[in-house]
Amino acid sequence: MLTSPNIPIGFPPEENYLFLGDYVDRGKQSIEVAVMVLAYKVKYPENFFCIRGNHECASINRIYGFYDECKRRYSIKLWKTFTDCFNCLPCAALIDDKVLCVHGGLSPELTTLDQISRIHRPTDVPDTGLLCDIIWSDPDPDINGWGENDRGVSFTFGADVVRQFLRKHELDLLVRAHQVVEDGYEFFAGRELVTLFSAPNYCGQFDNAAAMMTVDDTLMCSFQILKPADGRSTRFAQGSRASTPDRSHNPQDRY
Amino acid sequence: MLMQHTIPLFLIIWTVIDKLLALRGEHPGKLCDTLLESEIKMVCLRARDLMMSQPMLLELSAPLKIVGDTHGQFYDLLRIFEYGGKFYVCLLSM
Repeated sequence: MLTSPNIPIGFPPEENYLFLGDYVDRGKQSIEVAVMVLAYKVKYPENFFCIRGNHECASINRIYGFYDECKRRYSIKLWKTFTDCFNCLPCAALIDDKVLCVHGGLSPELTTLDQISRIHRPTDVPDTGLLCDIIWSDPDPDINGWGENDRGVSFTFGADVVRQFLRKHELDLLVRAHQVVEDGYEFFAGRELVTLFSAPNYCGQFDNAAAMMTVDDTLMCSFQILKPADGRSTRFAQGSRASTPDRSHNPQDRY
Repeated sequence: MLMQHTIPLFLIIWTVIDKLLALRGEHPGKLCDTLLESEIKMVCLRARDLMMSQPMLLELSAPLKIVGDTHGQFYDLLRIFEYGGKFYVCLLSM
Protein backbone atom coordinates (compact mmCIF):
# COMPACT_ATOMS: atom_id res chain seq x y z
CA MET A 1 0.00 0.00 0.00
CA LEU A 2 1.20 3.47 -0.83
CA THR A 3 1.71 5.90 2.00
CA SER A 4 2.55 9.56 1.87
CA PRO A 5 6.31 9.98 2.19
CA ASN A 6 7.98 12.08 4.83
CA ILE A 7 5.19 12.51 7.36
CA PRO A 8 6.48 15.36 9.50
CA ILE A 9 6.89 14.84 13.25
CA GLY A 10 3.75 15.77 15.15
CA PHE A 11 1.52 15.74 12.07
CA PRO A 12 -1.17 13.11 11.66
CA PRO A 13 -1.13 10.15 11.88
CA GLU A 14 1.84 10.20 14.23
CA GLU A 15 -0.50 11.55 16.89
CA ASN A 16 -4.27 11.09 17.27
CA TYR A 17 -6.12 14.39 17.11
CA LEU A 18 -9.51 15.74 18.12
CA PHE A 19 -10.42 19.25 16.97
CA LEU A 20 -13.18 21.09 18.81
CA GLY A 21 -14.60 23.17 15.95
CA ASP A 22 -14.46 26.78 14.69
CA TYR A 23 -12.13 26.09 11.79
CA VAL A 24 -13.44 29.00 9.75
CA ASP A 25 -14.15 32.76 10.04
CA ARG A 26 -12.11 35.62 11.50
CA GLY A 27 -8.74 34.44 10.14
CA LYS A 28 -7.64 34.97 6.55
CA GLN A 29 -7.17 31.33 5.57
CA SER A 30 -10.34 29.54 6.56
CA ILE A 31 -10.25 27.47 3.39
CA GLU A 32 -6.78 26.10 4.13
CA VAL A 33 -7.70 25.27 7.73
CA ALA A 34 -11.00 23.61 6.82
CA VAL A 35 -9.49 21.63 3.94
CA MET A 36 -6.53 20.50 6.04
CA VAL A 37 -8.81 19.27 8.84
CA LEU A 38 -11.24 17.54 6.47
CA ALA A 39 -8.46 16.00 4.35
CA TYR A 40 -6.81 14.53 7.46
CA LYS A 41 -10.24 13.22 8.48
CA VAL A 42 -10.48 11.42 5.16
CA LYS A 43 -6.91 10.16 5.17
CA TYR A 44 -6.86 8.96 8.78
CA PRO A 45 -10.53 8.32 9.65
CA GLU A 46 -9.79 6.39 12.85
CA ASN A 47 -6.99 8.64 14.12
CA PHE A 48 -8.23 12.10 13.31
CA PHE A 49 -11.52 13.57 14.54
CA CYS A 50 -13.22 16.92 14.32
CA ILE A 51 -16.45 18.14 15.90
CA ARG A 52 -18.67 21.09 15.11
CA GLY A 53 -18.28 24.64 16.33
CA ASN A 54 -20.79 27.46 16.07
CA HIS A 55 -18.95 28.82 13.02
CA GLU A 56 -19.56 25.58 11.10
CA CYS A 57 -23.01 26.96 10.42
CA ALA A 58 -24.09 28.79 7.26
CA SER A 59 -25.89 31.67 8.99
CA ILE A 60 -22.75 32.48 11.02
CA ASN A 61 -19.96 31.92 8.47
CA ARG A 62 -22.06 33.80 5.89
CA ILE A 63 -21.30 36.90 7.99
CA TYR A 64 -17.94 36.39 9.70
CA GLY A 65 -15.62 35.82 6.77
CA PHE A 66 -15.80 32.32 5.34
CA TYR A 67 -18.48 33.06 2.73
CA ASP A 68 -16.53 36.08 1.45
CA GLU A 69 -13.31 34.07 1.31
CA CYS A 70 -14.98 31.25 -0.68
CA LYS A 71 -16.63 33.74 -3.02
CA ARG A 72 -13.43 35.72 -3.58
CA ARG A 73 -11.08 32.77 -4.03
CA TYR A 74 -13.38 30.13 -5.55
CA SER A 75 -17.16 30.30 -5.78
CA ILE A 76 -20.37 30.54 -3.81
CA LYS A 77 -21.00 26.97 -4.91
CA LEU A 78 -17.93 25.84 -3.00
CA TRP A 79 -19.23 27.58 0.13
CA LYS A 80 -22.44 25.56 -0.27
CA THR A 81 -20.39 22.36 -0.60
CA PHE A 82 -18.64 23.18 2.69
CA THR A 83 -22.02 23.90 4.28
CA ASP A 84 -23.33 20.47 3.27
CA CYS A 85 -20.23 18.93 4.84
CA PHE A 86 -20.39 20.99 8.06
CA ASN A 87 -24.03 19.96 8.49
CA CYS A 88 -22.77 16.39 8.96
CA LEU A 89 -20.05 17.09 11.55
CA PRO A 90 -20.42 15.20 14.83
CA CYS A 91 -21.02 17.49 17.80
CA ALA A 92 -19.41 15.71 20.77
CA ALA A 93 -16.74 13.18 21.68
CA LEU A 94 -16.39 10.93 24.70
CA ILE A 95 -12.90 9.74 25.58
CA ASP A 96 -12.73 6.41 27.40
CA ASP A 97 -16.13 7.13 29.01
CA LYS A 98 -14.49 9.76 31.24
CA VAL A 99 -13.80 12.94 29.29
CA LEU A 100 -16.61 14.66 27.39
CA CYS A 101 -15.62 17.11 24.65
CA VAL A 102 -17.93 19.64 22.97
CA HIS A 103 -17.45 23.05 21.40
CA GLY A 104 -19.61 25.15 23.74
CA GLY A 105 -20.79 23.39 26.87
CA LEU A 106 -23.77 21.82 28.60
CA SER A 107 -27.48 22.14 27.95
CA PRO A 108 -30.39 22.20 30.40
CA GLU A 109 -31.99 19.64 28.07
CA LEU A 110 -29.09 17.22 28.31
CA THR A 111 -29.99 14.42 30.70
CA THR A 112 -28.50 11.38 28.99
CA LEU A 113 -25.59 11.18 26.54
CA ASP A 114 -27.79 9.04 24.29
CA GLN A 115 -29.72 12.18 23.44
CA ILE A 116 -26.63 13.47 21.62
CA SER A 117 -26.23 10.21 19.69
CA ARG A 118 -29.83 10.48 18.55
CA ILE A 119 -29.52 13.94 16.97
CA HIS A 120 -30.27 13.44 13.30
CA ARG A 121 -27.88 14.57 10.56
CA PRO A 122 -27.52 16.41 8.24
CA THR A 123 -28.71 19.33 10.29
CA ASP A 124 -28.30 23.08 10.52
CA VAL A 125 -27.52 24.43 14.01
CA PRO A 126 -30.95 25.36 15.42
CA ASP A 127 -31.57 28.60 17.35
CA THR A 128 -32.53 26.78 20.54
CA GLY A 129 -32.42 23.32 22.06
CA LEU A 130 -29.85 20.65 22.84
CA LEU A 131 -27.67 20.91 19.72
CA CYS A 132 -27.65 24.70 19.89
CA ASP A 133 -26.64 24.64 23.55
CA ILE A 134 -23.75 22.17 23.33
CA ILE A 135 -22.32 24.24 20.47
CA TRP A 136 -23.03 27.70 21.94
CA SER A 137 -23.21 27.70 25.76
CA ASP A 138 -20.54 29.10 28.11
CA PRO A 139 -19.54 28.54 31.73
CA ASP A 140 -19.99 31.50 34.10
CA PRO A 141 -18.07 31.61 37.40
CA ASP A 142 -20.51 34.12 38.89
CA ILE A 143 -23.67 32.07 38.78
CA ASN A 144 -25.27 28.94 40.09
CA GLY A 145 -27.52 27.00 37.78
CA TRP A 146 -28.37 28.46 34.38
CA GLY A 147 -28.15 32.06 33.24
CA GLU A 148 -28.78 34.27 30.26
CA ASN A 149 -25.95 34.29 27.70
CA ASP A 150 -24.72 37.73 26.54
CA ARG A 151 -24.20 36.27 23.07
CA GLY A 152 -27.96 36.31 22.71
CA VAL A 153 -27.89 32.56 22.03
CA SER A 154 -28.20 29.65 24.44
CA PHE A 155 -27.28 29.88 28.14
CA THR A 156 -24.48 30.15 30.65
CA PHE A 157 -23.99 27.57 33.38
CA GLY A 158 -22.41 27.60 36.82
CA ALA A 159 -19.80 25.34 38.39
CA ASP A 160 -22.57 23.52 40.25
CA VAL A 161 -24.11 22.47 36.91
CA VAL A 162 -20.78 21.06 35.73
CA ARG A 163 -20.20 19.23 39.01
CA GLN A 164 -23.66 17.63 39.04
CA PHE A 165 -23.41 16.64 35.40
CA LEU A 166 -20.00 14.98 35.82
CA ARG A 167 -21.12 13.11 38.96
CA LYS A 168 -24.33 11.89 37.34
CA HIS A 169 -22.53 10.58 34.26
CA GLU A 170 -19.42 9.39 36.11
CA LEU A 171 -17.21 11.68 34.06
CA ASP A 172 -13.91 13.27 35.13
CA LEU A 173 -13.67 16.29 32.88
CA LEU A 174 -15.56 18.45 30.40
CA VAL A 175 -13.39 19.88 27.61
CA ARG A 176 -14.66 22.74 25.46
CA ALA A 177 -13.41 25.65 23.35
CA HIS A 178 -15.50 28.63 22.13
CA GLN A 179 -13.92 31.45 24.20
CA VAL A 180 -10.58 33.21 23.95
CA VAL A 181 -8.52 32.53 27.07
CA GLU A 182 -5.27 34.32 27.83
CA ASP A 183 -3.05 31.28 28.31
CA GLY A 184 -4.74 29.16 25.64
CA TYR A 185 -6.31 27.00 28.34
CA GLU A 186 -8.28 27.87 31.44
CA PHE A 187 -9.84 25.77 34.16
CA PHE A 188 -13.30 26.26 35.61
CA ALA A 189 -15.23 24.57 38.37
CA GLY A 190 -12.14 23.38 40.25
CA ARG A 191 -10.55 21.72 37.23
CA GLU A 192 -13.68 19.89 36.20
CA LEU A 193 -14.01 21.94 33.02
CA VAL A 194 -11.25 23.24 30.78
CA THR A 195 -11.51 25.75 27.94
CA LEU A 196 -9.02 25.29 25.08
CA PHE A 197 -8.29 27.98 22.52
CA SER A 198 -5.76 27.31 19.78
CA ALA A 199 -5.63 30.51 17.70
CA PRO A 200 -2.77 32.60 19.15
CA ASN A 201 -3.02 36.40 18.87
CA TYR A 202 -6.65 35.83 17.95
CA CYS A 203 -7.70 38.11 15.07
CA GLY A 204 -4.51 40.09 15.65
CA GLN A 205 -6.43 41.86 18.43
CA PHE A 206 -5.64 39.71 21.43
CA ASP A 207 -2.35 38.78 23.09
CA ASN A 208 -3.58 35.29 23.92
CA ALA A 209 -1.44 32.17 23.77
CA ALA A 210 -2.75 29.02 22.10
CA ALA A 211 -2.96 25.64 23.80
CA MET A 212 -3.36 22.02 22.87
CA MET A 213 -4.18 19.37 25.47
CA THR A 214 -2.60 15.94 25.44
CA VAL A 215 -4.53 13.10 27.06
CA ASP A 216 -2.21 10.16 27.64
CA ASP A 217 -3.31 6.54 27.87
CA THR A 218 -3.82 6.81 31.63
CA LEU A 219 -6.03 9.89 31.04
CA MET A 220 -3.36 12.18 32.45
CA CYS A 221 -3.82 15.58 30.83
CA SER A 222 -1.07 18.06 30.00
CA PHE A 223 -0.95 21.24 27.98
CA GLN A 224 1.29 22.47 25.23
CA ILE A 225 1.37 26.21 24.85
CA LEU A 226 2.05 28.23 21.75
CA LYS A 227 3.16 31.64 22.96
CA PRO A 228 1.64 34.74 21.42
CA ALA A 229 3.75 36.79 19.04
CA ASP A 230 5.81 39.38 20.84
CA GLY A 231 7.37 41.05 17.84
CA ARG A 232 10.04 38.38 17.54
CA SER A 233 9.62 34.85 16.35
CA THR A 234 6.97 32.85 18.15
CA ARG A 235 7.54 29.36 19.41
CA PHE A 236 6.27 26.77 21.81
CA ALA A 237 7.57 27.36 25.27
CA GLN A 238 7.65 25.59 28.56
CA GLY A 239 6.46 27.01 31.82
CA SER A 240 6.12 30.62 30.81
CA ARG A 241 2.94 32.63 30.89
CA ALA A 242 1.46 34.69 28.13
CA SER A 243 1.79 38.42 28.48
CA THR A 244 -1.23 40.02 30.08
CA PRO A 245 -3.76 41.21 27.54
CA ASP A 246 -5.13 44.71 27.60
CA ARG A 247 -8.00 44.55 30.06
CA SER A 248 -9.96 47.00 27.98
CA HIS A 249 -10.46 44.14 25.57
CA ASN A 250 -13.38 41.97 26.33
CA PRO A 251 -11.69 38.67 27.17
CA GLN A 252 -14.52 36.63 25.74
CA ASP A 253 -14.98 35.97 22.09
CA ARG A 254 -18.48 37.12 21.35
CA TYR A 255 -18.96 34.81 18.41
CA MET B 1 -18.14 5.22 -6.93
CA LEU B 2 -15.18 6.64 -8.84
CA MET B 3 -15.15 6.01 -12.56
CA GLN B 4 -12.23 4.20 -14.04
CA HIS B 5 -10.69 7.15 -15.83
CA THR B 6 -10.76 9.46 -12.80
CA ILE B 7 -7.87 9.92 -10.41
CA PRO B 8 -8.16 7.59 -7.41
CA LEU B 9 -9.47 9.29 -4.27
CA PHE B 10 -6.43 8.52 -2.16
CA LEU B 11 -4.21 10.30 -4.67
CA ILE B 12 -6.41 13.39 -4.56
CA ILE B 13 -6.34 13.47 -0.76
CA TRP B 14 -2.61 12.90 -0.75
CA THR B 15 -2.15 15.72 -3.29
CA VAL B 16 -4.30 18.11 -1.25
CA ILE B 17 -2.38 17.41 1.97
CA ASP B 18 0.96 17.79 0.18
CA LYS B 19 -0.12 21.11 -1.33
CA LEU B 20 -1.07 22.41 2.11
CA LEU B 21 2.07 21.08 3.81
CA ALA B 22 4.14 22.74 1.09
CA LEU B 23 3.32 26.06 2.78
CA ARG B 24 5.50 25.10 5.76
CA GLY B 25 8.38 27.52 5.85
CA GLU B 26 6.60 30.08 3.69
CA HIS B 27 5.98 33.57 4.93
CA PRO B 28 2.78 33.46 7.04
CA GLY B 29 -0.10 34.80 5.02
CA LYS B 30 0.88 33.18 1.74
CA LEU B 31 -2.23 31.51 0.36
CA CYS B 32 -2.36 27.98 -0.98
CA ASP B 33 -3.14 28.99 -4.55
CA THR B 34 -2.53 25.53 -5.99
CA LEU B 35 -5.65 23.88 -4.52
CA LEU B 36 -8.24 23.16 -7.19
CA GLU B 37 -11.93 23.66 -6.53
CA SER B 38 -12.54 20.09 -7.74
CA GLU B 39 -10.04 18.78 -5.17
CA ILE B 40 -11.65 20.72 -2.32
CA LYS B 41 -15.06 19.48 -3.38
CA MET B 42 -13.83 15.89 -3.36
CA VAL B 43 -12.43 16.34 0.17
CA CYS B 44 -15.74 17.78 1.39
CA LEU B 45 -17.86 15.03 -0.17
CA ARG B 46 -15.68 12.22 1.13
CA ALA B 47 -15.38 13.79 4.61
CA ARG B 48 -19.15 14.15 4.71
CA ASP B 49 -19.67 10.45 3.89
CA LEU B 50 -17.09 9.41 6.46
CA MET B 51 -18.53 11.55 9.24
CA MET B 52 -22.00 10.24 8.51
CA SER B 53 -20.65 6.70 8.86
CA GLN B 54 -19.36 7.57 12.35
CA PRO B 55 -21.58 8.48 15.32
CA MET B 56 -22.78 11.98 16.28
CA LEU B 57 -21.26 11.33 19.73
CA LEU B 58 -17.79 9.99 18.95
CA GLU B 59 -16.42 7.36 21.29
CA LEU B 60 -12.65 7.74 21.34
CA SER B 61 -9.72 6.24 23.20
CA ALA B 62 -6.68 7.97 24.66
CA PRO B 63 -3.94 8.83 23.88
CA LEU B 64 -4.85 11.84 21.79
CA LYS B 65 -4.33 15.55 21.44
CA ILE B 66 -7.21 18.00 21.67
CA VAL B 67 -7.16 21.32 19.82
CA GLY B 68 -9.53 24.26 20.35
CA ASP B 69 -10.64 27.06 17.98
CA THR B 70 -8.34 27.62 15.00
CA HIS B 71 -10.39 30.23 13.05
CA GLY B 72 -8.63 30.35 9.71
CA GLN B 73 -5.16 30.91 11.20
CA PHE B 74 -3.50 28.35 8.96
CA TYR B 75 0.14 29.05 9.81
CA ASP B 76 -0.68 28.70 13.49
CA LEU B 77 -2.33 25.37 12.73
CA LEU B 78 0.89 24.22 11.04
CA ARG B 79 2.86 25.29 14.12
CA ILE B 80 0.44 23.39 16.35
CA PHE B 81 1.03 20.19 14.38
CA GLU B 82 4.73 20.82 14.02
CA TYR B 83 5.47 21.30 17.69
CA GLY B 84 2.85 18.90 19.00
CA GLY B 85 4.29 16.50 21.54
CA LYS B 86 7.40 18.41 22.38
CA PHE B 87 6.81 20.66 25.39
CA TYR B 88 4.56 19.78 28.25
CA VAL B 89 3.31 22.39 30.68
CA CYS B 90 1.19 22.15 33.81
CA LEU B 91 0.44 18.51 34.51
CA LEU B 92 -3.10 17.73 35.57
CA SER B 93 -3.47 14.51 37.47
CA MET B 94 -6.88 12.98 37.07
